[in-house]
Amino acid sequence: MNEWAGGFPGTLVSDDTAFDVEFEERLRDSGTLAFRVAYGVLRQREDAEDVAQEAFARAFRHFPRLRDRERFRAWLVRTSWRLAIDRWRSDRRRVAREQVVHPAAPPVSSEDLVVSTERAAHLWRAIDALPDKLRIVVVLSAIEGHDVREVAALMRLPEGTVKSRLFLARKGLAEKLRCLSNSQ
Amino acid sequence: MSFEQPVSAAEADLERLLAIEPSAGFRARVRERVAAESMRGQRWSWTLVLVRAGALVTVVVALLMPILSLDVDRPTPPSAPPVFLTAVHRPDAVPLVVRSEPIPAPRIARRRTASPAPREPEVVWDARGAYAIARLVDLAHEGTIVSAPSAPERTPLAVQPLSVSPVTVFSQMLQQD
Repeated sequence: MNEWAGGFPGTLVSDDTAFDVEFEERLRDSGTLAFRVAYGVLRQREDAEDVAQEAFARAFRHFPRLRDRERFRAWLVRTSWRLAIDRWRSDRRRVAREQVVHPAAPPVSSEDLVVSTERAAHLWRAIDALPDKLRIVVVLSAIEGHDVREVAALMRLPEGTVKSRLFLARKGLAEKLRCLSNSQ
Repeated sequence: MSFEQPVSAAEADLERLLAIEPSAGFRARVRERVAAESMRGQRWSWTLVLVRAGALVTVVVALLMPILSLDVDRPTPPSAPPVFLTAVHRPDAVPLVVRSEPIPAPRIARRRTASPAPREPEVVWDARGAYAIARLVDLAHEGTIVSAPSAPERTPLAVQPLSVSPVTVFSQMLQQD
């Protein structure tokens, strides 16, 4: 069916050229989006790239019914989010087990240094405390300047639902940040 | 609202934190991963084809097995004695079905005639017996047959009357009790 050129990593060649050209276009268009969605959950570049790769591999399997650009992006965002959440939860369980034996400091990425490390840690902690359906709205609205309409399109939800979730998310975020500031 | 200002600052921080680009080799790794996925998909597709073909063959064999085993395994029943049907012509019978086309003339079996009464068995004499009978007849005609002397008159035997003593066993048993 589709075979990719091994020696030339920039392009792909197969019998179904139109199919591969479209998929390459989607990869250029949505690769960073999938990565950022995963990064918004995992905060580790390598893990986020792994999750984005997995999401693209799954997207390739379903690509015949995902050839529409908007449908593809929405599907990719939701899949990346779910995969990232799954990995994040399994990592948390694993870290919790390991910390019983070897207490370790939370990893600090270079991106966290853009914002002060302490503020970034507070922010991530507050976001992690939100319910999943509020958390994804906050993350998606912070990526690539998505407005409510674009988030609604990516989530396949009505705009009103996204608006109310965004309101609740911001309210919860403010409370969490205040609690974290007071606890210090 | 009261939470607008800190949340706006947090959102601005979040946007900066998420304005991150994947590494340079990200797309190439995605292509490799998808290529591997494609190859695995091809292998799976062949495997699926083989599995489906095997399942189809199994189903066909399962369906045909009873039919084939009829000829192979089923024991032949003992042959029943042949039944011969004989049509009997009844001139007064009314046909059940009326056909527009001409009905071929039925093949009428020949009525079986009643068999004759069995003859008495023929008495067969051997030559000497036949000669003796013929000689007896001739002598009877000639009147030369001498009747045998009559047997002496027999006197009946005198039988003494039997005297049976009464049975005493039962009375003895009663006395013993």
